[in-house]
Amino acid sequence: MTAQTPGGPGGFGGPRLSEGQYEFGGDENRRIERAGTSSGVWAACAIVGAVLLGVLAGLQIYLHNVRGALLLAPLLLICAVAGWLYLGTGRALKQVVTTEGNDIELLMRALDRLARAFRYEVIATGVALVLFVVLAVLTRM
Amino acid sequence: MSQHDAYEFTSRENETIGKAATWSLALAGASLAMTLAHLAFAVIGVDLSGSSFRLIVFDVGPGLVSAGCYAAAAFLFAIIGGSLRNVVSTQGNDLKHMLKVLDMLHRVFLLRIALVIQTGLAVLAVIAVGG
Repeated sequence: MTAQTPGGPGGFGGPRLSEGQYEFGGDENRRIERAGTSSGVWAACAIVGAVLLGVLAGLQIYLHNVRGALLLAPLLLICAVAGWLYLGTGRALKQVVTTEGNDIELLMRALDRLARAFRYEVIATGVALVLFVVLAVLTRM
Repeated sequence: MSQHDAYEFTSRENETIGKAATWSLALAGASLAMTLAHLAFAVIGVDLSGSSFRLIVFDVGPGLVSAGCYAAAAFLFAIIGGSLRNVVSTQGNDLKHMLKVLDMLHRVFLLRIALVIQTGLAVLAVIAVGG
């Protein structure tokens, strides 16, 4: 069962990203949904990964390796941020499949979210790398 | 000519796609930087003179596995960025190219899921070795 695009033809708030009119067919929908599902699963895994890294850091402390625990913090940051961002991307891709009307607009919105997720992940990675170097230098003494 | 062969993205749509391409390529670069960071982490986390064998396994193993996964992700993000650029710069078959990009994206996510599973296994291995 499909739903109408929320909020009228443009769907969602904000400016329109497309005027194109196109409705994806069965195989196309399957491929879009697959990308959306794997994005959602990856997001859940990234959040689980962040928790696991926390456990790993705890174990490092238990083994009296505080430095090793501190150096895991940047990676934990990336996992947590990525998990949050890609949940939205997965949902946006699935919306292309589950709604009817103006699929191209919805695909463009999903791509816009994906670009945003990529951008924030690049920023988080940069911050994490700087944090990693700072922690590595500070804990060297 | 099928319907999706006939659809051509407009300039506004191409702008959104181009933005995704740029950040995908940037993410490829960031993943490459992460590969180097993980390799460095594997080395600088180890104190060969004072550490037990258990601690060395603890530090080096997960670092090398993560570095390998980040290197593969960097490669795939570069391909995604290149494919998205192709959607913008070529004419004809735009939706076909776009669906190929989504297939590639699916593979990147699978790889990243594998990375998390490997991290989980590494944690279990550490518990088994160090516990």
